[in-house]
Amino acid sequence: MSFRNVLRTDSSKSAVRGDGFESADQLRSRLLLLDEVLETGAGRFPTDVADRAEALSSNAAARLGHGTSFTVVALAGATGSGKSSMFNALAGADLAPSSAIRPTTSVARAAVFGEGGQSLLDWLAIGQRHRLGSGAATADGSRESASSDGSDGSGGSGGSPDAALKANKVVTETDKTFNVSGNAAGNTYLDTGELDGLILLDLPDHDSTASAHKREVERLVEVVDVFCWVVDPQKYADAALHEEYLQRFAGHGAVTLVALNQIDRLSAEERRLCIADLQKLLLDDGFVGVRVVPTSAKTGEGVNDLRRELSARVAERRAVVKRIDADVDWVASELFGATGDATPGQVAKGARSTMIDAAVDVSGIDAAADAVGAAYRYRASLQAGWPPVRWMKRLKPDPLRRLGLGSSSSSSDGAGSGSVVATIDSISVRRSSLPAASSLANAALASAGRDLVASSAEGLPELWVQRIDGTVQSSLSDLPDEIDRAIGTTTLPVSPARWWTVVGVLQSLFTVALVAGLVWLGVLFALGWFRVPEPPTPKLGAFPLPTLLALVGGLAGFLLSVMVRKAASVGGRRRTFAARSQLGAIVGRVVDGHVISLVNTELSALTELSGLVRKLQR
Amino acid sequence: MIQQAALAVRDSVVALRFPLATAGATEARADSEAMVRQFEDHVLPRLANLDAPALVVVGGSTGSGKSLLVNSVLRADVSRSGVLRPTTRCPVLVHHPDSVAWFSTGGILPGLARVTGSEAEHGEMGREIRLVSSTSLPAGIALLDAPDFDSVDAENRAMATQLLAAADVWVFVTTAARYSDAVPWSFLKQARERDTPMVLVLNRVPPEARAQVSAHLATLLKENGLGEVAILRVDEQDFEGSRLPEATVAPLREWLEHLGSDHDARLAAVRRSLRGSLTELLVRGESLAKIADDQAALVYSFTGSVDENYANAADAVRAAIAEGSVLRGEVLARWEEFVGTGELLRQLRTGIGRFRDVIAGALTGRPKTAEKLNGTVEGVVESLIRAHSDEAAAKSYAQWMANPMMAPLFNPSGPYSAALRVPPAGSSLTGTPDREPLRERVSAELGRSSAALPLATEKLVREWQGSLLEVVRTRGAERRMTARVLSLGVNGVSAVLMMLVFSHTGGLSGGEVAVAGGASAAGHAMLEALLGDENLRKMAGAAREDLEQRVTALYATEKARFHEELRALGIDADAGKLLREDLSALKKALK
Repeated sequence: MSFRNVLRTDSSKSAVRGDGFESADQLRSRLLLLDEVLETGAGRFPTDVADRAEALSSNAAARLGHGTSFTVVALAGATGSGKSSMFNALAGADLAPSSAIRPTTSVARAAVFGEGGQSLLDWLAIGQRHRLGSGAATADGSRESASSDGSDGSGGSGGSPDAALKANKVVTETDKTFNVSGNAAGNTYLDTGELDGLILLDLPDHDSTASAHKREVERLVEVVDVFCWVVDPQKYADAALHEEYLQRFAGHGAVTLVALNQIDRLSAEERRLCIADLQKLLLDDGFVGVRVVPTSAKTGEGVNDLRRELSARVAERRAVVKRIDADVDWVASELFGATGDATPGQVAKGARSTMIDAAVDVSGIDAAADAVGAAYRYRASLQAGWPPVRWMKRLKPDPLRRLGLGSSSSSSDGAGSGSVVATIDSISVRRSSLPAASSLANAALASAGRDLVASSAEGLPELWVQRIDGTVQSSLSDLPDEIDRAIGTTTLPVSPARWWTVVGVLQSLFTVALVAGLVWLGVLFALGWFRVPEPPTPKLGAFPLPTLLALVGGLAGFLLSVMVRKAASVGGRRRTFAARSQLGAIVGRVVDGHVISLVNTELSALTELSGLVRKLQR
Repeated sequence: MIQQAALAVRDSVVALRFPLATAGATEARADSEAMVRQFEDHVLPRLANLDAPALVVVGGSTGSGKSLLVNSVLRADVSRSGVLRPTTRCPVLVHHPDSVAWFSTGGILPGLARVTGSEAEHGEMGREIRLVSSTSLPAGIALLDAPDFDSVDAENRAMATQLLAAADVWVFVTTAARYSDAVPWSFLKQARERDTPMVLVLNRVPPEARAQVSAHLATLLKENGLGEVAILRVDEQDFEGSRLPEATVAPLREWLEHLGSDHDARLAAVRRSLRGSLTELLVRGESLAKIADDQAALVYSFTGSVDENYANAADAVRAAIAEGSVLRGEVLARWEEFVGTGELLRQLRTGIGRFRDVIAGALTGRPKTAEKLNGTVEGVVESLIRAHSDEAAAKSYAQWMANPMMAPLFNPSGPYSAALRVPPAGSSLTGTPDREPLRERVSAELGRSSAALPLATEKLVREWQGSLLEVVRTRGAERRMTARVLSLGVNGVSAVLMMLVFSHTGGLSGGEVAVAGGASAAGHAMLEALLGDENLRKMAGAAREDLEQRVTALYATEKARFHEELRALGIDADAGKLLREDLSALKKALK
């Protein structure tokens, strides 16, 4: 459950708003921001960091869903420091058994001051509850007992209660309301009415050999609103306390109290030294301005001070918000550690053009473009070449046909010299018909991919580099197919040029002249052979007409075909160039669409993400 | 004999390195150091001198009253006690004046400096022991007041652990509030493993809970296999001045005096803890050997994968040459130009034709087509070699990066950084840790080909061409063709031969044969006529093999960079095996 979901339900909205605290709106928008970060950053943070942030978000949502009318304070500390005694002293009644046997408390128990709070306790999965406070009535107690039993059966809300705890779940909601006036030691306490709205938890220890106790503590420190660490002169400097808990929650100074219990064991001078040393240790842990309250559950000394501290926090009703706010601070700094100060730009132009060049090499479009040029030359020579030697051209295959590109008009193949050319106006390029990419080209593509990753992911956190690398690798493996698909729908114009027809007609005319001249000469020669008198041969100037026809027709046809060849080679080159740039543009588009844009998307997502994290961090 | 075997084990453990994040490596790192320390602090000096005074270490939690206990037993303020935690930071060793030589020369705990005089003079210094001589102790024992093992002061915890490991006898102090804490119990379990003779002092017992707590503690001890341990109970009380009441500490003092004066009892205790330590060290050594094997196996597998990547790269180059991909595009165009312009044919004529070409080339300023062809072929071959080298480097690097066990190589500020401080070979942990500075991070440079590769590739191709010519000379001489062949000129010959190498194997395929047209075929036919078909094939084959060998050699220097990184980790492939051998020798010696 994310915080956003909670906001959508009206009841929780009122639960959050109903209690009225200034920074609630700020916290709400921060949690929304956190959700946004987690959404944008899905898969972009290390798993453990993301998991912790998710857990925090859902815990925060659930906790806020229960409203802020109750403040949950946990008495936590080492075994033997007197948590249970302090619990009893604060409650003003012997609720928790305290003993000399270590460890004593194995399951957390709650003292609830005031009415309500059942659902919150269910969520906290606290089985042992004691109801206290001025207004609590006996009837309420029994009803609550029933209702909370019911909700337990349905699985409860939020949190995942310990299996051991579930088995142990006898709700010992005390039936009587304690008459709070004093305790055995004769100390009078404040009216508990002041503590209405407090849920006081007595946690098990975190440092004994019983590891189940530590698990219970671990579970609860994540969800309570206020920490009240109970330490004693013997154990106040334990590594287990400072290194595993206090340093971890050093950012939660606003919702942390430290009670130096068993103060009765120290002389006045020792007290002063001890408190100063503890404060120094707390400062070293990273706390700023945490108050150390000297107490003695045994003599009752300082208990009222602690009580006053608690009642102030309960009355203020802001501990929930402060706690979650501190959590968000912590998570934000963790997220920031994962994103760093990275503001990557977009893919550089150089890397992009290297990539496109490599893709062009791999796609084999050069061969297609060359074939287009060759086909142009071939067809030009077929249609406008010198007719006497045209038949030789036909022995060579059409370059397009050789690449399997121009198969659409095979029916008309061989019918006439002009028909093939006439029917193929354009060809579609299929990659399968192009030569396979050489390993050199493939290696160059892979290298271009690495350069792309290296240049665009420079200075980014390792995880992001890997992500970008993954993006590039997977898109590169698809790239040939994508290019294939894009090119497959492309047609390259190979339509005949207009001048071919004109030249073709001219060539025909010259050939006709040549043939006519030769035939004429042949006839004349035959007539002479058979001694038949020759008809008069018309003359043009000094030359006989048939000779002229044959000479001019032959010479002009030859010269024209030389010119055609030149023109065809120029035209072919132009066609090759055009085809190359047309196909190259397509390859460029494919590279842009399937590689560059993905990397750019990833990069801008990362930029956005680190911006969001910075904003979350404040 | 045991001594030598123990020394051998120590040396093999010193040689172990656990820089990679294999399972249990972090623990193994700490444990190997602890083992070496235990050998040097306790086992080796003790093996050398069984009769030396026994070391009784008073250890326990912070605030459990160790110093107070020591002061009370000695009836002298040798160690400061107080309410601030942790109180004792510098360990205090109290010995009889007669045994000063043994303790001050560093027979035991040689890694810790010795100071004398009052605590005030020295303040709180790390890694030293304050020696106090006292006649209230019998000559046979010394009492060491250790710092706590569970306060926030990490230095204290390390020191306490070290001192307890070096003890012949433990006096373990805990309190009514502490006796079920997890940390002390981890030490008690260690004592059980080592079979260390021990007295347990349960301090600060509230009088009202005396019976309850003692009974619970006794049960706990029995449950954990420590039922034999004697418990000395000290009530929570307002003690007079800075001492515990005489009656309370009397039993402990008596026990200590007995131990100090009864030679046999002391020797028995010393032998017992020594044997227990050695037995435990054997077990720990076995698990270290296992992890050392894991490290070596990981290095082996990464060496293998790097080799494989470069072998694949060499294969790819070979395949590219065989499939004729060199002969595509630009190279083919140049070849056609070379053959098509008739330069080949012209060069085959001697005399005036060549002279004319030289003149023409000089006048037009155009490079001759043979040179252009050569340049293009060189460029393509170079980029082929470089591209596959890049790929192998990138792949090897990525494989390292992807394996979390190699993470310490890439993150010097991470938790494994200390492992990369490789101590100079042969040094033990004795004395001040004198270690090399942190090794440089394995940089992303490793993921690319070396900076020297472009030049090396150029040189490779040039030398290959040189040897091609050499082949032509010798082969040609056989067939008395030298003059005619050499008349082609250096450029011409190498160009034609390179083309042969690249086309004679797989030849061209598909459309390109046709695109190349008759040109290459014509060139081929011409050369065949010139050198003979058989000869031609042999020469092409030899030249190709030569090129492959050169590429393999070049890649060997490239992959050496990776091997160097792995070697720098200092992991000896046989370290685990050697340790196991030494361990079994020690085990045999113990029997």
